[in-house]
This record gives sequence, structure tokens and C-alpha cells, in this order.
Amino acid sequence: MDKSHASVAMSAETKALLSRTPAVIEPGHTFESVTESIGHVVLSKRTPIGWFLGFFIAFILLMILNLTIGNLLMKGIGIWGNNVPVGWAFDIINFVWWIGIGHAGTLISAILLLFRQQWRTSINRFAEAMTLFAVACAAMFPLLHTGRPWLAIYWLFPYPNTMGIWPQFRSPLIWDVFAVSTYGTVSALFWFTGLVPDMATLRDRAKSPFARKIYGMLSLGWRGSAKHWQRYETAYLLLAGISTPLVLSVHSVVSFDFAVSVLPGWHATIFPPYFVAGAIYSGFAMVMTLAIPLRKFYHLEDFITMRHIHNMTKVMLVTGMIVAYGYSQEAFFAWYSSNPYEQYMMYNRMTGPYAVFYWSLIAINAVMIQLFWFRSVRDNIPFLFILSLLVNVGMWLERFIIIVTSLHRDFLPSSWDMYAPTRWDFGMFAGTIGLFLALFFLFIRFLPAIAIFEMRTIVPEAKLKAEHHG
Amino acid sequence: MAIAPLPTAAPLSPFDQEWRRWLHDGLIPNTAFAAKTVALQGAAIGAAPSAVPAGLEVVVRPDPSVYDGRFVNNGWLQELPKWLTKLTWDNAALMSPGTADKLNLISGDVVDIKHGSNTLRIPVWLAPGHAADVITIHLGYGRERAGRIGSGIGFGINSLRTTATPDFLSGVEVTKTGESYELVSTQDHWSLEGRNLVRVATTEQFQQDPNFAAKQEHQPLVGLTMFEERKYEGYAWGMAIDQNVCTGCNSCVVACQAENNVPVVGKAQVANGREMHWLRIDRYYSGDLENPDTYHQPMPCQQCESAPCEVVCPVAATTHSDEGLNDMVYNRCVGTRYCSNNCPYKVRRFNFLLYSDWDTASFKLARNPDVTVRSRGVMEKCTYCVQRINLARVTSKLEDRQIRDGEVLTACQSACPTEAIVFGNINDPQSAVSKVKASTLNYPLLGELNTRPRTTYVAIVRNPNTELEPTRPLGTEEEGH
Repeated sequence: MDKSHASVAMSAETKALLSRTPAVIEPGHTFESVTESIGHVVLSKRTPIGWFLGFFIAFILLMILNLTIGNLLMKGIGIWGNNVPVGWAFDIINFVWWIGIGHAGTLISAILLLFRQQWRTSINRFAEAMTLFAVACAAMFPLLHTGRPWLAIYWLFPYPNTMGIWPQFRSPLIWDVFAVSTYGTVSALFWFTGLVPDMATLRDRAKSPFARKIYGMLSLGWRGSAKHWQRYETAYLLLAGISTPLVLSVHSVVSFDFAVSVLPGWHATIFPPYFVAGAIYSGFAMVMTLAIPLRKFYHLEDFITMRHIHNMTKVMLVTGMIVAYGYSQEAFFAWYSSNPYEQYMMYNRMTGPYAVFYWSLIAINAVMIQLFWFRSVRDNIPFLFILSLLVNVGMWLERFIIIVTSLHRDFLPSSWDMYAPTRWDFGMFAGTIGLFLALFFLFIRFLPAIAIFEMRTIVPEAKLKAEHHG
Repeated sequence: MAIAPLPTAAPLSPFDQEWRRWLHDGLIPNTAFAAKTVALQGAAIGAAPSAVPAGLEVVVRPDPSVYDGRFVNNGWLQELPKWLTKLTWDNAALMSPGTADKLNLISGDVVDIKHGSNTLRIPVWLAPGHAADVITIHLGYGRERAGRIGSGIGFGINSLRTTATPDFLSGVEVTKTGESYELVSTQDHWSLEGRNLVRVATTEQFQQDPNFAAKQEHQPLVGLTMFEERKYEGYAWGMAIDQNVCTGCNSCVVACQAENNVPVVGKAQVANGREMHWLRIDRYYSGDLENPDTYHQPMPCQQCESAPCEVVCPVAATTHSDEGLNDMVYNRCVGTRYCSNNCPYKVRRFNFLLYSDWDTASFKLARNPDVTVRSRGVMEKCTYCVQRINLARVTSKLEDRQIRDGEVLTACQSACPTEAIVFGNINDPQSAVSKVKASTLNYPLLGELNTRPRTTYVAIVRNPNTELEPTRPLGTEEEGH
């Protein structure tokens, strides 16, 4: 894909810089060794015991999700802690959190592809999978948080009906329906399209006839002809082009849920860019959270190198700083507006009953991320793992603060109230984590977590051939 | 049908003649008491106790909702937030914040109140404006056999009370037990937070500036909306609530509950902020908590012209009627609760669980057949008693005339003993509600949000004794424009 790379003449400084930068693939790999190391994970008959352990935990959490949803459908959303005035709480916090996490996958696979960022190659596949699974978790909340999900599941879509009634297009929730369903569809297509050549590789290498059949069907008759490659490249590029605006638009639309309302703390023009940055920030943290154990347990350090780790940390630093700037501007606007409701909102966030969460998120998203400036931190893998988990906590807290503190004390002090989650709130959240992990474990067992054919394009062999052709 | 002729009158006996005269005159002649001469006995005044007895005193009073306990088995009255305290489903030992401070107590602390050999274990609730060193305990609670609703709730005063002084107990001892008890109030916050929600002036201030109420807020420009202005050709319903005469008595709240099939949800749900009252009375204190000004502000749906709830509903379950009502379409509602989040007045109520009993046959007879019984997962709110409007519309059409002013009384309005709530057609300048709204005291709540509510409030004008009470400056905001 990136075949022009080798022919670009490099200045001395660039060369010096590159010598300090870790490689995107460790030396010594050939086409065969790449295919073998990645394909082996999937085609091996032996499933590592650690996989079973991890999947077991995920499965238990998944069963908690089933239990929660069952109870929810039986009794109603009153099993959660939501009330009036806090009509949205864990449900929408989790929705925004999950959908935000997905954004890194799309950014890596689409935007970085268009910008010819070679280092995306080894992480894009599982980052896309992460996007897809995160969207699946996210989409569950807006549906199940409604009072009557059996109606919400289709009444929010515009379809011709005997009632002669359409959805209300002024509502940001309708925009959400379009944004999230588009996002889910495009992500699934993009992910699957990218998988097709690898499916063919697995088909050809699989020993069991059953696996051969399944991978054969999924490879859609791929034979690797030049025509196939040409069509594949066109389709992939087109999908990347379609996905790119989604990175910006989906979370902008999600932020409209808040920005379009009249509520102090929600009604803010800064929300779209601030939400998008936060989404990418939390998404990269999640990619890091997944990549670190993945490369460790499956010995993929050669493919997911320190270069990837460094780059992801840098993206987190930049987007985290944008988010921190967003916090400062929220506070500034509240003060500068001279609006007593806005001012009280900010004062309440900083000193009210939920202040500990506000300061925790500031500590994580504004202060802690400054550690990423240091190379020693960027090199310290176990520490980075902890930091990436904390970033996810911080971003969850951000949504908690935005949603709960704005709702629980709004205009009329008479209706001020507190919100406390119930065990079912936690059950639903833990359950979606279970769903996410279960899908991810299945993914790394049955599909190549790293794009084999794309990795083959960056081994020295490929460059050599490219130079010959050039 | 022919009316049967009255039987011929028999001649009246002398007593009957006399009796008729008494009835006609309204009195029996020559039965007045002899006049008495009254003289002031100065000595008696001196003999009255000069000092208040030391120590704490318990005062026993009828409960504002369940009276002496006879209504304790009534769910509506149990869930009704009590006048001033806004407590539901319980009574408590009420005391002023100052007294509680002295005893090192906060609301919810359980205390032992000891009088002689009798003890009562009861939680404390802080009541601003309560007399110092006095504890009020309401009657009617702690009954063991009161029925399905009333048995075993609250705290009975009878274990403490004596026949000698049934209404008060002097010299009681209060000890903190260290336990706490969850008392459930529908309003956790008493302060106005310096917001211009209740607008008050003294007569003097009002005479100086009759427009003081409007000036406490920046009014948005007329026509500042993205959407086309609606035109109301026929009726345009509106309401005005006079805060000068509202006493916070709660009649309107219960009337609304009865009229609109509003379910009772129980203490646990109220504790979680899920009470279903379509109309609530907000109670605010301002000034010194030992002697505050107390305001009552009835809060039904404000039926905004540009309603924040309407634009955010994804399925158009809350829409604007051509008479300006903010309609709620229950069978279209999927329950996203976005409307409630975006309602600045937080008057929307959500059926988090199945609150209405759909199965008990006898309850069907208790309900208003003109109002839908709501199911789980559906949002609901005040409709301005749209069923009454529609009834009047049918009647007026049959008689081929317009709906008369005063023909539609909302349930809250018809129950209000002080006629604080006025409702009618604001397209008719002669209607009672139009006249109230024409007053300079009339103001929309949170008008600066450009919600343009149909329900407006009449600002309070007080005439305090300036020797007893210093005049406070008007409002908290600078003058608007």
C-alpha cells in the first residue's frame, strides 16, 4: 500500500530522527514469518489457557448483562437509579463512553490511512474490531434506556406507516439514530472489507475442513488476482473516505444531545469539538489497554512495536490537552456569561456533592496526561497500561460530571435532587464490558487481530521488490 | 308529564305560625342574653407567668395531611408533601435549625424524647421558622392497625402524651441516639439561591415602581425563534397563579391527583425522586432561617409557547395543540426522558415502573374515566385538565356558542380556597385570566429562557410593619431591559 515510501529521498536530519524512532516492524521478518506468526494465533488447534480464563470472566459479565436486560424488560427502567430531575445517568454516560471509545478505531483505520501513516498497519485491524464492538455496546443503551424499548426500536426510524407519523426531525435523538446506525454500518463494512484478503490466507492455510469452509465463505472467493487487489484497494479507499467524516460527525451529533438543550452545563457551543477530541483520546486509551496485553500474551512485540506505543501516547497527549482546554473554557464561559445558572453549575461541579468526581477527572485528564511528555513514561509499558486504564476512568467521569451534575441541580432549586446508581446500573455497565471483552476474545481467537497482508507490505522484502519495480 | 297539584293547605296551628315566623326572621324574639358589663382586670395580667418555662417543650398538633390520624390510611394524603416540611409518609420531631444546632442534631437523626417515665424514639426534621426550644410532633402516626396503607408508619406521640396536658409537654429531655432514619421530603433544597423565581416587593416599593416584577429579568426579544410563530385563531388557554393569596394548603395537589388518575408510588419511590404529582407546591425560605419569609409557588406544567420539551422528543409524543396546550401523547411516548431533562421547570413525571394498578377491579371505579391511566415507561404531566376543556367544548358546540369565561375550571383551580389559580382564554381580553395577566405584577417564570410560558405568576406585594421588619432591597438581579 505504501510502496512509494522507499523511493523518497531522505535528508540527513530525517535519517537521524528515524534512527531514534523505533521501527514499525522489528527487523528479520519475511512474508512467511509474518503470515505464520499472525495466522498461527488463529489456526492453532491449541487455545491458550489464558484465553479460556479471560473468556470465562468476560462470559460471566455477559451473563450479568443478560440478567440485567431481562430484569429491565420485566420491570422497567425503575430498577436503575434514574429519577426526576436526573432522567439520564449511567445509561447515557455509558452510551457516550462506548461510542467515544470506538472513535479511535475509525481514526486509525480511515484518517491515518488517508494520511499514509504506515504505523497504523499493525493496530488498525483490532482497533476497528474495537470500534465495532464498542458501537454494539453503545447502541444498546439508547435503546434499552427508553421506557418502552419494544416501540423505540422502530419508532425512531422513519418508515411509512399507517399512523402517517414520522419521527421528529428536530430532536437530536433522531440525529443520533442516523449517526450511530451509519457509524455501525460503515465500521462493519470497513472492517469486513479489510478482512477479506486475510480470510483467503486463512482459508488456504487452515487444516480443518470446517475452518476452511467458513473462512472460504468469508473470503468471498478471493484469489488474490491483480483485479481483486485493484478493486479491493478502491473499495477500501472509498470506505476510508466515507469513514473519515464520521470520526468528526458521530461524536459531534452525540454532543448535540446536550448542546441543543437549554440546561446549564449542556447548552454550550464548545461541545462538538470537545467531544470529538475526548472520543479520540479515550479511544486511543482503549486501543492501548487492549494492545499491551495482546502483544505480550501473543508475542506480537515485533509487530506492535514501541513506535506504535509512542505514537498512541502522543495522540493521547494532544487530544487530552484539547479536552483539558475544553474544561478550562467551560469554566471560563460560565464565569464570563454572567449567567447565574451557568455560574452556579460550574460552582456546583467544583464544590458540590459530586466535586470529588470533578477533581478526579481534572487530575486524570488535565494533570496526569502531562506525564506523556516524558520519554521514560512512554517507554514504561506496565505504567502506560495503568495510565491508559485511568484515562478511560477519567473519560467516564467526564460524562458523569456533564450529565449528572448538570441535571441534578438546574433552574428551580425546588426540584434539585441527588442521583445514586443501583446494582442494576453497575450490572448493565459491567455487562457491556463483558460483551465487549467476550467479542474481543472471540475475535482474537478466530480472526487475525493484525492485518496479515498489510503487514507483509511493510517487511523489508516488500520494499526491496518495490524498489526493483521502481 | 303533568305535575300533580299540591294538596290543599290545612289551616296552620298557632305553633306552626310562630315557627314560620321564626324561620322567616331568623331569630326567636326576646331570647337574647342579658348584656354584661366587662371590665379589664389588670391584676390578672400580672399573675400570668412572666418567663417561658426553661427546657424544651413538645407541642402536639394535628398533621397537615392526615389530621388526627383518621386519614392515615389514605395514600393520596400520605404521599402529599406536607405543608412547609414537604415530608411524605412520616411524621417527625420538628424543630428550628437553631434548636437543632444546640442539640447537635441534623434532619434524620433519631432522638429519644423523654418526659417523666415515658420515652418516644423519633427522627428529627429541621423546620425553618419554627419557634425556638419547641418540638412539634404531629398526630396520627405510629398506628398499628390503620389499614393497608397506614399501619405501622410514622411515630406515635401517644406513648409520651398524658391526659393532664394532652396538647403539650413541658420540660422534656432530648437525647441523641446516634441512629438515623430516612425521612423523605419532596423538596431537598429550601433556598432560592438568589434566583428571581419568587418576586416580592413591599407596598412602598410597589408604589415607587409598579413594574418591579418584570424588571428583575432580562426579557428575550419577541420573535426570537428559529421556528414559525404559531397563530391561535380560536381559544388560547392560559393560567395565572397569584402568589399573594396562595397559602400552600395543598388542596390543588390532591384535586389534581384525583382528577388526573395520578398514581401513588410509595415512600421508597418518593425517596428516589419519582413522585408523580403533576402539580407541586414549591416552598422557599428566604432570610434568617430562624424567622424566614416563606413562599409557596404552585408549579404545574407551564405550557410554554416555545416549549423545550417539544423539540427534543424524537417521536413527536409531546406536541403543541392549536390552542397552545403542550399535549402529551401517551401511546406515542417511548420514554427517552429527554423532554424531562430539557424542561427547565422539571414538571414532567415518568413512569419508571408500573405505578398504576391495572388489575384491581375496584380501582377502575375510582378513576376518572376521562383520563388515560398511564402505563410503565411513559412520560406524563399536567394537561391544564384538557378533558374538562373538551367537555366544555362539546357543551358549547351543542348550544352553538363560544366557551364562556369561567366555564372551564381546572381541577386545581376549582379546589383552591383562595382562588389563587385563574384559568381561561387569553385570546379574550375580557376573560378573568387576561385581566390578571394584564397586571404589572404578572411575570413569567424563567422568562429569560424564551420558553414563553402560558402559566404566569403574580408577584407578591407585602405590607409589613416597618418597625418590626427592615425593608429588604428589591430582587437580586440588576434591572433588565
